[in-house]
Amino acid sequence: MVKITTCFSILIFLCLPAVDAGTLEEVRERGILRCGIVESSPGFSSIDDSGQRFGFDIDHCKTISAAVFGEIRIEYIPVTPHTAFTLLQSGGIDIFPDGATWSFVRDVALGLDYTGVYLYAGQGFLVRKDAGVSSVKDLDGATICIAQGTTLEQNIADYFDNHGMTYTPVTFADIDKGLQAYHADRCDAFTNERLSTAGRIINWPGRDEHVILDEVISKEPFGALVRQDDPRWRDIALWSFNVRFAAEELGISQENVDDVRKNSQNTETQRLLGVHGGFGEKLGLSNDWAYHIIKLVGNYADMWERNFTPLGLERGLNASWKEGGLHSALPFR
Amino acid sequence: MTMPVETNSPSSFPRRRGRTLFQGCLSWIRENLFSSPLNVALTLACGYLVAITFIPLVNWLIIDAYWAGTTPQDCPDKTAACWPFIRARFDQFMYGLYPVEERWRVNLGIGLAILFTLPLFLPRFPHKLRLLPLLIVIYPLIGIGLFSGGQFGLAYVDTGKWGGFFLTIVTAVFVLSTSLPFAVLLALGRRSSIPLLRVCCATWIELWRSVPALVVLFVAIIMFPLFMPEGLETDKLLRALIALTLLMSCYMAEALRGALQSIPKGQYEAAEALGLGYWQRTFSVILPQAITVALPQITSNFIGLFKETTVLLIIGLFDLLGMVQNAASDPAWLSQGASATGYLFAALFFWMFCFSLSRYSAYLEKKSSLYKNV
Amino acid sequence: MMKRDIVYQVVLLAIIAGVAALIISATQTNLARLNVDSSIDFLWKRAGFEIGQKLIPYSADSTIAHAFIVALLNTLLLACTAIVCASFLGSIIGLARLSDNWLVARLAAVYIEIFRNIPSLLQIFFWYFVALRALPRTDESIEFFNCVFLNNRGLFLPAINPEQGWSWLAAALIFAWAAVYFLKKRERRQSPESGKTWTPGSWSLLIPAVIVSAGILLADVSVQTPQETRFGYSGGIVLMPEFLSLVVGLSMYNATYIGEIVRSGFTSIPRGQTEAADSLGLPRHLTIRLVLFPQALRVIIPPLTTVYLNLFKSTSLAAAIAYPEVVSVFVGTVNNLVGQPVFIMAMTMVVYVFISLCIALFLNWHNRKIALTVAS
Repeated sequence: MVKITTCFSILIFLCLPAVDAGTLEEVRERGILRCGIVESSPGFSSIDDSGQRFGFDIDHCKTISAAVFGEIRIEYIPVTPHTAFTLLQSGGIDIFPDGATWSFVRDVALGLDYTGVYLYAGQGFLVRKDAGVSSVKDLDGATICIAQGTTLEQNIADYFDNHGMTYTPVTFADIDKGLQAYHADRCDAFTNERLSTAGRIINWPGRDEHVILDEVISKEPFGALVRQDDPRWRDIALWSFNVRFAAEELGISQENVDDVRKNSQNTETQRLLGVHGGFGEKLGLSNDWAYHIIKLVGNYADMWERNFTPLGLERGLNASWKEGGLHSALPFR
Repeated sequence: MTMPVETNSPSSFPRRRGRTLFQGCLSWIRENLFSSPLNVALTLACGYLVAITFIPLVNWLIIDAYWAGTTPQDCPDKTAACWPFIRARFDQFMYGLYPVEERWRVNLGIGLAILFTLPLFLPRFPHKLRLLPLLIVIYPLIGIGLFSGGQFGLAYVDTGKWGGFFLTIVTAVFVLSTSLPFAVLLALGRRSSIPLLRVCCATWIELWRSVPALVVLFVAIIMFPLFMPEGLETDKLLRALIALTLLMSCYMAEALRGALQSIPKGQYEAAEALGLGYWQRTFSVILPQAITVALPQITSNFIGLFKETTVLLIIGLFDLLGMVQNAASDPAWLSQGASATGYLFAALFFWMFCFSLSRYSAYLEKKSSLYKNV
Repeated sequence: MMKRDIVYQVVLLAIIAGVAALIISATQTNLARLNVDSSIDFLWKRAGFEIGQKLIPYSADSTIAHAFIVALLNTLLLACTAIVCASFLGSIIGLARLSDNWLVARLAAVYIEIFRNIPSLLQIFFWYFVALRALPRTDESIEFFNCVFLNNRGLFLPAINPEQGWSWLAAALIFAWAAVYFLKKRERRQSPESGKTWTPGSWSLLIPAVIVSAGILLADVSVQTPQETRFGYSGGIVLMPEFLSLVVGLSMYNATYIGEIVRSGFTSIPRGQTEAADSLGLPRHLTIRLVLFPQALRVIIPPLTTVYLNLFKSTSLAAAIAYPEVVSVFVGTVNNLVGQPVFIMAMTMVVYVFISLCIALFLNWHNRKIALTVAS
């Protein structure tokens, strides 16, 4: 999912006049949420046989829609990383879940805001099982297929240099050609963002012969993007996304949410599900906004199981802090 | 190597009277295939070469090939061509990702394109020059309106969805029609009596002709937004088309320049003597002749353009080859003979078009050289 | 008339200046707006990325300018190899087309019609994505003499490393070339008196061969054969599959054009020339070399220039498969890295314009030279 957004191409579409009216009112009036998505990115955004969209990014769109409308009312607008920023600026889309790595330059220079980290990704390696490689350190002297873009090429050069290892790069202009060449045994390993690699190879015949190493050689915290000039809309997005972490920590899932809402005595749970506290109103939403999110999308574990478990991906860094991961919910109080 | 001999050597097809057909064949074979020890060796070597290339190829492509079905399961292994792959993706190869229910627009548009261009290639059609404005101004407008929609009740189709053979044709025809007027101006400029204009045109033409099409496309994709005033954003396909037009007009200008040079001086003088001004002289006397003379060269440039459109896939616009390439990297088809079949299919498609066009160009050349000799 | 021309030129100059000013100012505002630092300093920054094929020493610690040179050398290597192969193949095809053997002539014609009408990028893809897969894996490499290996990672050749360095060999080659040149000149001066004809073939091949081998012997050579390692082979000379498929694709495509040019070169020679040479009693091979070839060359060279230029330009197609040449490394990787499109595109264009110009100038010079020789 590391979209090949060069620094430059992001910067191209910087400063277009911002829209004045509040995004929430606008969305309400329109009656539909405009969500920018990048098409055909397995695990993140795909279309099933009946033409329904599904994926991790799609779930983010649904989260916001559930919070605002209490139901799924979304117009998916296919964008490329190049066009997404302009569209966001000009009000063509309300939110862009696929904001890629939250880095200083993107946050500060783009005139856009991140709404928290929803995924910890990183650059990893895909290798053949029979190559006897169990760690990146075993790749000394290997030929490695790689796609041009962002910092992939530099990360790997730095990593190998720091560890006194050598490699031969075979550098492709796009990810799919690189994978195709790796599949044809042009290279010993293929390097890219781990989750997106997993998504792309899920349907490979003989997927079992390949393994994605657990190690990452770079840190890529992903977040969704909204416009910078509407703090309340940003709050809505940030706290809506946070509902899913909170729900997981409180043990509320898509399945048991109705039960919990009726029976739970936990005050934070009650505040979250809108039984009391009136938290939704403070955001300009209905009080059962979080209930709708959990009902329609689920908690973070539900999302992971739906989208990434089929790709054979463990949660790793993306586990809850209680289980040794990095995700921890901001408290609802 | 054998000795070079003239191609039309009278001995190549001896037909002597009083011989049976069989004897004729035999002696033809002896004279053309086994006339000397060297020739015997060459014939055998070539026969062997044909045998080891064509027999496996035919086997792979036709005899052993998997023909039935449309799913990956229909071709279980790589040992033979996988035609179900072509059948399953044929629509994508033709239309790219253009919405299925809107594809009639593509068919209609391509039909119109053929209707507009065909007379241009008919040597006997008298109103070629009158047709040109139609082709250059009116058709692109109709085409853009039809293909991208957004008006007249037609649904809008983003150019990102254009692809396949449709994109190849659109690009080739659009670039041909837009580059010709610029080519005329450049060619005239290069032969102008004004030194500065001449130098400028020559530099411009030679500059772009010495840069690969791919680089020009990259310039358009990456640099265009920088040259543009703020807020003006152009579509990626449009940028690519502008780049190819720029490039093609330089190549076409060279074709036209050659033709302009071949127009006898008397024609210029006669036109001047009639009291015609520069533009009138050029457009009603010189250019019609020059275009006729340049037609074979223009056609072969067009073939080059047709082949060059494949470069679009490098900048992320999927023409026929791009769609094939894309489909071949689909995991479902990875372990089948799909990619080889796909490339051969695309090759066949391109070959058919380029070959017939090159035959046409050769025919034109023959015809024009006949005129010259008379 | 003159006055009007001057007015036109002034107007033209004004228009050009205006358009240029407009573009420059728009670019400058845009660059400023986008916060793009437009100075050429980036060339001296640390590159930070590796390159798959390097003819000169290079590492991620080298500068970007250094990476540019590496990429440029890769482009030139590809262009030179493809030009040599295409010329060789093209000459064979062209002569085969003229053969009096029916089968040979037909086959050559079929070859030309097939490969000329298929886009070169498609041919390259075919060789890369289809033929590459047909090659065996490293552990089942095709071996020749236990020192040449062919597998899906490329062609591995033994490297000849003179212990004294390459300077010795270079010196020997220069000496051989000078010797041949001198001998040829003397021979030519003397031949009218002595009656001997200069037969360049035997001498020009013999002298450098002798001297080079002597040079290599003197320079005491070590041969480095590819060694099997954990991941395939290392050591020796590696020809990447990308390079191989590009050379094959580009040569086969451009050979069709060269074949046609060679054929028309030979058919353009009047029949009387052959007959005259025959009646002088010249043997066939001398007729070709001394009578037909020099004349055909005069017809061949000008259109050949165009083909060579096209071939050189199409080396940029390497960006589509992973061969690290100028477009791929500079417009791809470096532009991603530093975001300096203006300088990067300008440098790339200048390189292509400059080398195209060099090729054109060299062939024009050569053409003029052989044209003069015939005239004098």
